Amino acid sequence: MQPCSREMQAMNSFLCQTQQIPLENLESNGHQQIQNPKFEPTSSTTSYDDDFLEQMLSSTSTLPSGSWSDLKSPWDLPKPDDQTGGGSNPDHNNVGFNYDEVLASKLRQHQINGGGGPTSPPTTAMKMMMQQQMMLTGRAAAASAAAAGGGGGGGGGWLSIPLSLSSGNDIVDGSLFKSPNHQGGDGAVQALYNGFGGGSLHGTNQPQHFHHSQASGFGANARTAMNQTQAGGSNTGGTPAQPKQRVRARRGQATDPHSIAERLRRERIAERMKALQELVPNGNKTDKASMLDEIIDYVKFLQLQVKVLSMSRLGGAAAAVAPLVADAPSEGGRGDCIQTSGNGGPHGRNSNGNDSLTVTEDQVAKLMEEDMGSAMQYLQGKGLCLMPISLATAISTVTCQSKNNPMINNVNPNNNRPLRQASGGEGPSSPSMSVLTVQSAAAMGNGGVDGSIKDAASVSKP
Amino acid sequence: MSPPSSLKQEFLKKWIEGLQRCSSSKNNMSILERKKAIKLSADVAMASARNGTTCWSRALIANVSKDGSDEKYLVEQILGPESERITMKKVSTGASMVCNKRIRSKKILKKSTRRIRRTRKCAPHAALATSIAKRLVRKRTQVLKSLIPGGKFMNEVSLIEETLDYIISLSAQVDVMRSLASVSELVNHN
Repeated sequence: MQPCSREMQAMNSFLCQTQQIPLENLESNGHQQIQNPKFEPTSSTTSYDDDFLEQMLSSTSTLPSGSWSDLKSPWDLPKPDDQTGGGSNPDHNNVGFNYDEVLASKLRQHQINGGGGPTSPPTTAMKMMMQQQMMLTGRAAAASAAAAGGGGGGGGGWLSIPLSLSSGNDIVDGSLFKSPNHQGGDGAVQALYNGFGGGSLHGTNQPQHFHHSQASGFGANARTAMNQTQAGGSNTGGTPAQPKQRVRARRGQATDPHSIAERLRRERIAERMKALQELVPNGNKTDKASMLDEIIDYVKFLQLQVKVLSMSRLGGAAAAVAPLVADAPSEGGRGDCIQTSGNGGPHGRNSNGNDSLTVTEDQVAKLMEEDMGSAMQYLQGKGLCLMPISLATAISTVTCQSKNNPMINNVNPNNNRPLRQASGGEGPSSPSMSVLTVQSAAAMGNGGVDGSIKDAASVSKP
Repeated sequence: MSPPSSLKQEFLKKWIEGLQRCSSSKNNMSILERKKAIKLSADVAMASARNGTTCWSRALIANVSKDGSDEKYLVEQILGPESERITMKKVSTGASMVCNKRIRSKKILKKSTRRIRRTRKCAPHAALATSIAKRLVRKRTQVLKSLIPGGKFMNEVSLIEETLDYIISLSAQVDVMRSLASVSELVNHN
């Protein structure tokens, strides 16, 4: 959020000259020579003693926590005695009133305590401090009074500015100023003060942050400084005073909700891929693309097995053969995966895809009903072969390891056909022999496999 | 991990029920019809074993019970009163409309990104590699979506979940079918 109100701009111009001063003042413990800040005191401040200001200055710069607690009582009892011209602006009437109350009470306290009398140079610094405090109270008061008008001189000007500032300071100031903003009138001051006390309780660095942000916030770089402290706080993970619920980000990672959601999504996907890795055989791939490839192959394999097994249950003739979907018919191997994987491959066979498969399947099934031999010839014409299913798992593991991975198809010939006469042309002798068909001749090219095919009296590849 | 035996048992039970109903309805079926019937009953049994908990099972049943298909009757017989409940869970028409819109918008997005990519001159090697990898992954995800029933409606995360479940169910189905086949062969052989 940008400090775009005119009050803020006015404030910037007003304080530009002085922004460095309070910062230095805060950081150092000693007294410093402070330039004339061109400070326009309200009528009420002119009546303060230098002693008082100096005391305030020293106390605030050294021990914020201690000093705030010391100051607690005056802030609780605002006395309207010294009210003068601060309330000239009708808009800021109660605000000016609060100012004066606070300052007057402070003065009274100081007078009660009695104090030493330092020299004048710290006075201006003290005045800066007072100004800051007034801004703080002004913020709370202004918030409560909801008076953001810019009129009425410099005092009025910087009342509204802290209000606009406070809206942007979520992290650092939100916790501190939340209550003041919701209370009205006199209670605002007390609540503000409680905020101070609370801030000090949170940790020693908290008030520092607070002062830093307050001081630097009045400059032109207000917003970026705030953002830096916010970012720093959230990035290093130690933000106890954060009002919002935030996922604690690791170092160097973004904290905006989009990237968090993205990261969660990616983690979920990774979890599930790990679970899939155990399921799918040969799922030890680290790459997501190759893992997906394995998954696809395995699902196709299982679906084909179901299809074939359902055929065998028919008690029909011999094997019903289903042709394969060859995923990598080319000689090249996995390198061509970009082009050949999936149904969208450039090869004509693949592009026709499932249509040709089912057609071939039906054809072969029909042929098998009549004559095994004709079915075999048909297959041969298509470039398919039959294979015993006992090699199914063996082949799948082998082909997984090899470059090409043609899909293998399980076919169950059921030699026991209660409804049909067993033809003599049955190749496989063992009753529960299943048959595999493997396409992509080049891929297999294993002589041993062919030999075993011959054992089963199947047709070898052309 | 091998499919749990409880799943297998449930599948077997439902499948046998379905088979009985199939065989009772038609006596003279060609091999293909029988294969289809068997496969259908097996698939439906598998899907109903999930009781509508997974997306793919609902999609499968919905696909089979499409209006105007022959198998609907069969499905209703097999599933009984459950079929209506399960298909109602999946809002098929709404999902398909949403899906079409999504597909169309994705195509538009793809075209625009392709144009943007072309205008970009020479990308550094790392970016090129990642873009290639992303393209690969996307292609394969599409293929997977086409494989899994009802996959085109899912986003990537749920797709992988559904794949997991689908693979388990399929392997259970295969095991049961194979064991049944071997048993029946043994029985018939003797």
